[in-house]
Amino acid sequence: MSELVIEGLHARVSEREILRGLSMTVRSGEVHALMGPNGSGKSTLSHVLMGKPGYEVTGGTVTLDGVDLLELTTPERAAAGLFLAMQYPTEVPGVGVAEVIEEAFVATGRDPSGVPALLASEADALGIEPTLLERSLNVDLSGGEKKRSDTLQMAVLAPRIALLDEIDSGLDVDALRSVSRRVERATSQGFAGSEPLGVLAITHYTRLLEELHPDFVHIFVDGRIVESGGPELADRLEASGYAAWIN
Amino acid sequence: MSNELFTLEASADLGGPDWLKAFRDSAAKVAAGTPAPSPELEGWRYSRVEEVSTAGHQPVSGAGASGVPSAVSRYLSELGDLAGHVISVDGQIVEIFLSDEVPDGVTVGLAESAESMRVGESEPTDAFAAWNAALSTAPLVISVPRGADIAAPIAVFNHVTQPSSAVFPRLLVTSGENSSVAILEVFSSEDIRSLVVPVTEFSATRASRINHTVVQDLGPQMQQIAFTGAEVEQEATWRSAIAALGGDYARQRVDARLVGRGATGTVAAAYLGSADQMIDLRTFQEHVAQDTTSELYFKGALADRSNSVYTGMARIHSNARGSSADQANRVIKLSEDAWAESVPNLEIHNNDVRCAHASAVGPVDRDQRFYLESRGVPTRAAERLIVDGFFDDALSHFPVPEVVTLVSSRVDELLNREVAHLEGRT
Repeated sequence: MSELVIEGLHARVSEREILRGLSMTVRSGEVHALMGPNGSGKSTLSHVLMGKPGYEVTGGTVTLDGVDLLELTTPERAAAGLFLAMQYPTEVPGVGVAEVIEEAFVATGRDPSGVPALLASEADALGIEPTLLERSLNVDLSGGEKKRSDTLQMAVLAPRIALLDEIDSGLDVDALRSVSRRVERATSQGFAGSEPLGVLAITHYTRLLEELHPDFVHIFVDGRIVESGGPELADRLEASGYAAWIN
Repeated sequence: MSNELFTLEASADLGGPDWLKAFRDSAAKVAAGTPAPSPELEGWRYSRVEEVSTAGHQPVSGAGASGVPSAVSRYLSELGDLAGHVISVDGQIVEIFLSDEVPDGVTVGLAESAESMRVGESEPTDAFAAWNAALSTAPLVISVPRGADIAAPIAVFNHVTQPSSAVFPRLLVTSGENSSVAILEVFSSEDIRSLVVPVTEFSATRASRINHTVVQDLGPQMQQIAFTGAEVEQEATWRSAIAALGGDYARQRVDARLVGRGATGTVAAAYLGSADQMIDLRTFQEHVAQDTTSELYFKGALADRSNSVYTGMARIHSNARGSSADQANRVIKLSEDAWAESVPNLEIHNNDVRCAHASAVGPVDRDQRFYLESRGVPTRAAERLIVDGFFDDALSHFPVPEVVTLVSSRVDELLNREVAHLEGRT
């Protein structure tokens, strides 16, 4: 059983405080949806958790299975079992997905020789054209192809906790479904015998939740969680919008 | 006007047949009357030409060279199949070899007449090129007859061993109508401080195809002022690729004159700088005839306190309608102390053309690095993947795969040099 514990997290970007005391816990097999209006700092949370340069943590703690993530570099956080699917996956010309996963395997002492076969089988499950695996990361890909590619990387890297930042943006219905099915399979069965995946899905719309079926929904406003509940909270949000939670 | 780069006496001292002595004599007078370049001149801005002018290098006279240097042997063993090779040491040819598979009529050897010493009536572009004509000890000519097709490259090695010397390699390549040839030039040296002033000219006759690759792998103290020119006729194609790796100050100018309708001239370059090195690249694309195409793909990476200069000019003449010119130069700075100048220019005298240019200088992209790191790739490996990938589109235009491997391994060496610096970064 893995556990990502965030307690009283404060962070700022260029002198502006974006996170103001956020606390939550994500365990193996759980799907959490963090929902908030545009500009509320949801993506800041995913970047702070993954250690993106330019974000300053000013208070609070983040641990994964007791390990202080804030003391680790980004690759060390990934090696510890954290994965981030970005809202806007970055284009990296001339670099293929296999090279990246192989380097990540080498860095964590895993045998990289099986990576091409793993990629091929996961690509098939996600409806990714095999030719896409030969191309540069995210270069000239549609929004849906980028998100499928990120999901593919997650499936092969087999993290313990995945942060899915607006993974539904830019996705058509078919892509949203195949990405969601893959994530769901990981939250129930884990990756190849490992413990089930814990998910923190960050989203603006309730659309994703119809596919991803969260166990917990958190309303995120003004840098902190203002209400947490079960899936019914998403229904209330769908009916009333964020207005009810904004002062 | 005169310049004091070299002397008329140095030229007069060189041996050879009477026609060559007469050619040199007249070239030396032109050279002595050509002003020495200075950084005030447009084409030499940012350059370190004054360090070259005042270095006091003595032109080699040709004595002493013997045997194949180990650096050249190493290249020969690594380069795969060659159609032939020429090895020149300190300006003297020590070996010429042509494989049995080379078609009849292909000639590789010393120039035999004044006419074979230059393309058409072309004048030297500057004092160094002018001195090359006056001081070249063993001007080389490669001639490919009409219709001949040579798939594997003919390699020309120029190696320098004498300290404080100046060497003037000269090569002229002519491809007959509808022929095809690949030329690979390798410049190398011992760890000495000398000067190499190569002039290489191509004449691509109608519908012929020339592939040209330069590997500049000189020692770290060397100076180089190189000129490459190509005249490309109707429906002919000249494709050049430059790996600029060595030297302390290494300048390479490349001119392509697209004089026949439908002519194509492309240049790809991959260049690497480290320590206090300067790589200085200048390009001139002259679109003289209509429907001509030029493309430039330049990529550089700079470590330590190294510098690079790129200036380019694509000029579309008034008769060159339907032409297309693309120029791109991009540089990754691996160190905050590295410095790059990048100035692509266009001069267009016809409205019915397609022109584009791009220029970028900056560090390894922060978002790209974070993306790879977030997958678990350590910082150093992420930078190596990004920089290797950055060179991909330039290297995809290199026709000799072994040269691509060489450039990639040098990229890795450069990044390893930066390790301490990188590991201090967060």
